[in-house]
Amino acid sequence: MEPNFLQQLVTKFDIADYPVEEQHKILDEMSQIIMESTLTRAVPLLPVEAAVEYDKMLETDVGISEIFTFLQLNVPGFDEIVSEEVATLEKMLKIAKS
Amino acid sequence: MSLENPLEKRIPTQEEISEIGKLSTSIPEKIKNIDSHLHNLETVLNKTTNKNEYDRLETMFNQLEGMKKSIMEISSKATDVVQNPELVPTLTGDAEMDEIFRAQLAPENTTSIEPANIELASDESAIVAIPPVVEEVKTPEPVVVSPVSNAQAQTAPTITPGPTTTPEQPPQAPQTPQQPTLESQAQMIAQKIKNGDSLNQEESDFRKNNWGILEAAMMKNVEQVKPVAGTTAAQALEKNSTPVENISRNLQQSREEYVAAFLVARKNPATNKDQLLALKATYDENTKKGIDEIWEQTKSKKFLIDSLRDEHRALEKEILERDTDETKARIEKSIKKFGFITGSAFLYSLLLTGKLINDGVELVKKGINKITSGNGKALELLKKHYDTMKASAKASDPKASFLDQLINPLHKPWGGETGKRSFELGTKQQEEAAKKEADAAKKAAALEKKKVDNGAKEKTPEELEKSQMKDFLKKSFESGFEGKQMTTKEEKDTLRAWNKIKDKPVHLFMNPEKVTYKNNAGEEVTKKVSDYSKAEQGLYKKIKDAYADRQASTPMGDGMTLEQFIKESIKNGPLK
Repeated sequence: MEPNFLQQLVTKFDIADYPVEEQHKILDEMSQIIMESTLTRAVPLLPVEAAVEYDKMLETDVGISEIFTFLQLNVPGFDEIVSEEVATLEKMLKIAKS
Repeated sequence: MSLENPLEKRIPTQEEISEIGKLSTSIPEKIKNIDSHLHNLETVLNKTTNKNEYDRLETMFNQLEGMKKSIMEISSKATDVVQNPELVPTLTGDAEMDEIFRAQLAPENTTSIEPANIELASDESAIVAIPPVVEEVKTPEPVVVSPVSNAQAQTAPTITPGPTTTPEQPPQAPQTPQQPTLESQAQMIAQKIKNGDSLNQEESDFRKNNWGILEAAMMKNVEQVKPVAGTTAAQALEKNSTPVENISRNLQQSREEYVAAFLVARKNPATNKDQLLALKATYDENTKKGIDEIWEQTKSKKFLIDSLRDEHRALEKEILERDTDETKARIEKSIKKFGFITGSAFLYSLLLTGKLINDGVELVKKGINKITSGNGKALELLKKHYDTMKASAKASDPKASFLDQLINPLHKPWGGETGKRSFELGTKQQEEAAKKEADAAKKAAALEKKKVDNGAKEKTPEELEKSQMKDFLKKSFESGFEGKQMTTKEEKDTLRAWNKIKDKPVHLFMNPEKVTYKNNAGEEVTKKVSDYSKAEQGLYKKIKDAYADRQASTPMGDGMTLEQFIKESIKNGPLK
């Protein structure tokens, strides 16, 4: 089978040995950790004015991509934060599996 | 109580005198303990090169010195009371405060390694007790215990510590077995936790009710703020008593130790958030080791997932608590806002960084190159948005553009129950597709070999991709309509109808019963379904059915409206 997107993610995170259902669950759970870790670190870094605007955004039905874009633009080092959290995830899974 | 209140003059009772006499016997031990601490602190202080650390230790040193001074003053007063009760009626002039002092000076407390820490306030008008000193990270939080009048301090005679014998003094109370102090109990429990031993009910209750004391005791066990998750799990393994529950429990206990260190660090105003995060990172590393052990034991990811999730959430909460209420609420709202997209969280998190975005682009590119194999609807979806991204990418910020295009459509179809179902369906389809792909690959290889054998000119990568794309879209278009290959005649009719309608406004197909639109000349035109040919009507029906089918059974879910679907169909169309 040619590698598809999901499979390549599975390969990237080195969880191919798990049953398919577990792969999905792992990715799902880990993604939740990344999300929460990222937000916990990033949101407090919003400058005051941006935080006010951010609060307003949260009250609306604005899309997720817009919120993330907003955080990217307003939180210094946002990408690095996400990168670190993802890297941690990768490392954890590799260590746990090795 | 007010410091200005005059001391009430009264003669202490014999019982009080006796008690004060006993208290005074503890003074030498107290002073000895304090001297020992002062010596240790001075040693550490002299080795410290970090200014902040030096300042912090120096503060502790001064506090201890103040405590020593206070205790000596109290000792003087105690002796004075015993020797001259009529001159110094009470210890402090306040019965309630006396009680507190008695607790501070109680003989059983002298057995503790940790003396109660007492310092003089700057005006020397109040005696202040602080929590036990923990060498690693601690800034004591003063609690006012009792006032002492300057007059008393100045007039108190110098004494020789120890019991004073006077004719009136009753015999000393018989020595009874000393009850364990809170500190010693905490030390014992902390040690048990460290060793991975289980706690009995009483100890569990103690842990619940005396967390602050246990926290300080644990700090001694987690020397240098080193979490020990991996260590305890490893120790459990070494003991050859390694049921998964034990390891998991050890992890939990280690977490408590870590959190204790974390809490202590947090109380120190000098600890900034970066340092807390560094603690967390250290803890993560150790947790991984523990999880590694669990993995070895279980070969199951259940504990892996549960442990990681629980640990992380607990620690995030600790960090979160350091933020202001306002920030905390903001974070919680954010998490809630993003919470519903659990299923896709991984994907968008993955795609959020430059490195991973690049990876993501590469993955999609590769996927598109392999698109003829028809390997999954998810890829199809990604392909569409990759195309859109390519078309609209801003040269200055390709990252944002990619995210805008890729993340937004993902969150609905992949989130929640619908997303879960789609995800599962997608997986089944992938598995089924695998077999088909293997067959297709064989055929393609055979065809390629035939072309080479026939001397056919090899296609460039671009030509190959274009050809594959056409094949794929054609196949998708066809199978999307009826779920099966059309006959030659059906295909011919469909293509003819398609060619007739593909350049017409999309909204014509949104409501075939009756629709009003403006034509190219700007004139308003109203059309009904009967205005279309049967082939056109049939084609509309097929598009609508195909859309419904996709809605029900593909990872796209409701991520694409019928209008978008028609637009996509028109855009990509059945290519010849």
